[in-house]
Amino acid sequence: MESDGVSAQQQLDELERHRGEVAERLVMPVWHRALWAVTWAGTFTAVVTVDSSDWLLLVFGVFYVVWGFLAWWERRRSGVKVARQYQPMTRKGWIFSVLGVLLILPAAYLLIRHDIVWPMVVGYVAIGLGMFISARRQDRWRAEELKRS
Amino acid sequence: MTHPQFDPLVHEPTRLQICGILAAVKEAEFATIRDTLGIADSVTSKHLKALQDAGYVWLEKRSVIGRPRTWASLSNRGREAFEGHVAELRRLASLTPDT
Repeated sequence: MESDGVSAQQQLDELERHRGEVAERLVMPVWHRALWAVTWAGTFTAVVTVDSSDWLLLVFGVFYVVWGFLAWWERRRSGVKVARQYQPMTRKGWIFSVLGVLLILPAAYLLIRHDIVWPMVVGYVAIGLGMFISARRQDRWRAEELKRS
Repeated sequence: MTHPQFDPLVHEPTRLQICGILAAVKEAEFATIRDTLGIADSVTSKHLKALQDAGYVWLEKRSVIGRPRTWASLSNRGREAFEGHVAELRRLASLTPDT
């Protein structure tokens, strides 16, 4: 047989190396996940603050285009499709997101009734951070799962 | 547990690596396989065709913004053959004493 124990081990090592390369493709760059988090946090903010349906439609229209671009870019970069597996949000991700959502409702009231902007900014940033942290963790987790599979 | 089974078709180094990539994902794009392995289009095509002819791989052409792209996935038969072959490689590797 052509393959002795040593070349068999070499082939197994090669398999692992290539699998690692494919796994790394699943990790999106920071700008991608940041833009994703910014637009998602923006939808929460827009829903509770924008009182004109025309503006809301415009905001969602823009976000929809951004999400389409991000999805297209993600598929183009990864070049693979993996089975959907979701890791629950991390504790840090949960804390930021829940705090942000809790903050954004009273913040919207303060913004609309009293023109106080900063609570809305804090809520927006908290939601965005929560989603960003979770998305990055999710990417890393999927890559590790693929390497282990 | 997978039964170790030597498969001459999967044993060819490039095909083994292609199967290794496909076994880890649901499907992979032609260009991803080519770039990951650092091989030419024609070589990638030839090996994918051989695997397709054996019923180990499914190939599907899909158009993305008017540009056709080929996606490959491992069939159940291909997965079994690959896993059996890897089990055999592991068995062979385990026969080599540690230096």
